[in-house]
Amino acid sequence: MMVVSNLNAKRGNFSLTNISFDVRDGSTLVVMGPNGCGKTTLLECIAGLQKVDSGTVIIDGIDVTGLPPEKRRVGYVPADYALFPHMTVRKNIWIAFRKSKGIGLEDLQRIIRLLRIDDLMDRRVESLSSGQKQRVAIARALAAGPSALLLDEPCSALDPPTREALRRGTDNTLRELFRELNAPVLYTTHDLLEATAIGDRIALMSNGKIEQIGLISEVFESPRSKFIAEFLGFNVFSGRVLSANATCTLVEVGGVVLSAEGRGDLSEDVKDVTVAIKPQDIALSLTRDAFEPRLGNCRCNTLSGVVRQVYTEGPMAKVYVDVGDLSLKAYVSPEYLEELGIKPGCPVFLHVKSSKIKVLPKA
Amino acid sequence: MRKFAALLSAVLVLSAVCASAFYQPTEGTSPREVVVFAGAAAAPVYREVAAHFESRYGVKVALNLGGSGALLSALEIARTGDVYIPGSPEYLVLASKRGIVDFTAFEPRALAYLVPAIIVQKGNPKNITKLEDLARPGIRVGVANPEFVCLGLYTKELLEENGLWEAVNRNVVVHAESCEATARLVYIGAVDAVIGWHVFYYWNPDKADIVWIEPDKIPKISYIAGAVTAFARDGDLAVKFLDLLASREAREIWRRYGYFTTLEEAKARAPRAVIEGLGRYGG
Amino acid sequence: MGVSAFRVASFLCLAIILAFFLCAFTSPAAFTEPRRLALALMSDEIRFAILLSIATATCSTLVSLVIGIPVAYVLSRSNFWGKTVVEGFLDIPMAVPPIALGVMLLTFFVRNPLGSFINERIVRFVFEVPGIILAQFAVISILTIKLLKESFDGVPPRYEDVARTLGYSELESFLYITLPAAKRGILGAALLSWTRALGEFGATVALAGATRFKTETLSVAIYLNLAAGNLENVAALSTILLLISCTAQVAVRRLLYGGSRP
Repeated sequence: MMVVSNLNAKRGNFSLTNISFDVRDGSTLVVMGPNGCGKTTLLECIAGLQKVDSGTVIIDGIDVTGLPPEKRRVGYVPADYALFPHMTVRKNIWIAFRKSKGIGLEDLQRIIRLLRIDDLMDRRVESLSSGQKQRVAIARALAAGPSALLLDEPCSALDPPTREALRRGTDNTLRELFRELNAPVLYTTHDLLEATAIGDRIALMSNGKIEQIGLISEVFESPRSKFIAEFLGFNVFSGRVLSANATCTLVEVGGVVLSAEGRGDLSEDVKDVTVAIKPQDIALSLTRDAFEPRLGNCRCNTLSGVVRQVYTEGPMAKVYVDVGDLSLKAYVSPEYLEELGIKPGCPVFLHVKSSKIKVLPKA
Repeated sequence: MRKFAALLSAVLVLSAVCASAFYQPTEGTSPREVVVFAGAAAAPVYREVAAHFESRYGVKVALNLGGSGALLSALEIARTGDVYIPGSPEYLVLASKRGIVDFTAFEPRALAYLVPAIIVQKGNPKNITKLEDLARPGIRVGVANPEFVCLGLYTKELLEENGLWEAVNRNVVVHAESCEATARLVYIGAVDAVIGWHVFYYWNPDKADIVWIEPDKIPKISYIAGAVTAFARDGDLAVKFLDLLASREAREIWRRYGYFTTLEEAKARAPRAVIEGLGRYGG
Repeated sequence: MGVSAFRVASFLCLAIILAFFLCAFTSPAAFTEPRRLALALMSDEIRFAILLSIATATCSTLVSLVIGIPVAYVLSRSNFWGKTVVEGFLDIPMAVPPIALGVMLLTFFVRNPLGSFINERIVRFVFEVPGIILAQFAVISILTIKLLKESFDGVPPRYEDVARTLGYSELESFLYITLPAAKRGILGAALLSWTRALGEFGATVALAGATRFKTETLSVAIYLNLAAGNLENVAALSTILLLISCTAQVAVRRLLYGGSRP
């Protein structure tokens, strides 16, 4: 179990501020954020490669904050894998294994088998493909018998097909591996799909701070700030509160009035807010009342607009609709698109449940 | 193609500019000049005399100073230069044998005499008074390399003649690679004493002291002599320069730098000494 | 046009430099014959000088490496206060003529109380073989450090980071990961330093003297013969020095690259 408390580290103009989280054994925490938000710095601080100004890192009950990296037993896989040059795979792994604690030859062989690198052992690292390098790098980190595993954007250096397989979850290797490992895993990425495929919980970082942390499904469903909503790909607008009570909040966004369920986390008389709507939560139809029977009793917002553009990306079609001054993005399945014959220029109706309209603080 | 032509012409122009820096106009087009190859040891003397020469005859004197042997090699390879003035007569003999100097143009005569002496640190802290003291235990002695440096050969002969070579050799801590290096040993204080030319003291009287060797013990003294080269451009000018060096007025300059200008003076310090001859042109 | 003008010009420069040095090295042949070369090799004095040159060059190169590797490591990896000043200061010795460096060292060991203490009680440098090694070291060490630093710069610190997370201390990471990765660069630096030490003359002769059968290296012997006007010997000895250097270059290159190019 890894517990990080109030970690602060200043690097010139940038600082990690008050980072706190914990990761249980067998659980994977995905750390996400835009480039420069401090993911790599955080990982390096936990690994002991960078100094912290204050705060603690406790792994399996031991406070490792003051310890040098070689005493921390934290496995680290950098983004470029950093396989030791001019050596074979076998030598790379052996270098890790000779300093290992609590891991025997059988465990090592299992790791090699799990990562499917048994027939690569005598190859020189320079001759490996990116996918193979990734697996060797992870095997090397595991061969040392670490009590926690840190991976810094492990899929960023992969070639597209391999990466796609991992993103979509068709390649289970990493997920299975982390489960078997039964140690805390910290995994950074800036790809949403990858995050959902790999991790259980997610921490979103921006500018050295953790903006939100929780189960992936929760965070993806309920972002708590404008930044996070934008990062997750929500439709984000600035709006004004027209009226608010315990059950319903009316906001005005670009000339359109929307009703949202509840009050969210807003304080009493906040006027300027951010409104976020997940593209998947927008239903499209050609007629105004197409959904009424299905949605039944709930409060529902219906808007009318014109389709501006349609992009199909694999299993998902993105539809950009103009509603007055607003531009909204909706995700639907390509089959549905075809069925309805939705094309650019086509007038459509958008339906969003009140419960799916998120009202967030302004900034 | 255009770029290539431009680059090529740039390279050619650059080469032409560099070449012109080294271009030496052939004789007849430049003002008259005497090129002198002389031993660096007596540099101050040559510089003064050169200045006099220039003002008297309006002819520039180019002084190439260095070790006698190195200068000889340079003359041999390049075969340019008008006058050769080594630090000891042995080199003139060698030069004559190799056809580098021509004794007929100018009878080589001794310009200044050098007598071997013991040069010690200022104040003579080890209280050395005679040659035998150099064999005293604990004395650090430096000599010029006895195989390659002229002074070294003289030193060896001096010590051997006095039956002191073995004894003193035990105290010899270093062979110096040149005359100047030998003198430097005392100036820096790296040794207690060296056997060198007497002028070593006069070159740096505040860094050294001189202990004259007992006159009867000196078997051989040296002298500085010059000659005209076999390939001198203007033999007359060369002779004029050497004449000036040997003249009465020059004697003052030699004396001021500590050199003996007459055989008598030198012989006073070494009555039994022999002088290396120059064939039929003895000192 | 198949080949760029720039490439042509570059090869032209290469040709010029090769021609330049070939002219310089082959000219002594005009002054010597194989007979003289053989004579020189049979002389005890010269054989001693050759062995002394090779032995001292090897020693000073080893010392330069032993001191240079940690120094180069620190300069490559650390960013300490005053680093620019230190780096600038370390460039200065290269601008000092070797003979001046030698005289400075001689003065230090003879005149300076600390220097004389070292010279009297610890190691005798003045006019002794250790002086040759020290003088060569003074001349080549900066070169060695610069080349080594370049080699270490070429090994990303990332590898050391990973090694440390695997349980290796800073020293162990350096020894087992960085050094092997920089192996080629280190050997190259050693070879160049050794060659330079072999040719060292000015500082050596000032500090150690030119004592026959004691501190007379091959370079000193060349100078002495030049000073005595023995051109044929100068040519013969220079040729010997060139041959030794060539042999070393070929031997080490063979060792480094075996049969395959890197």
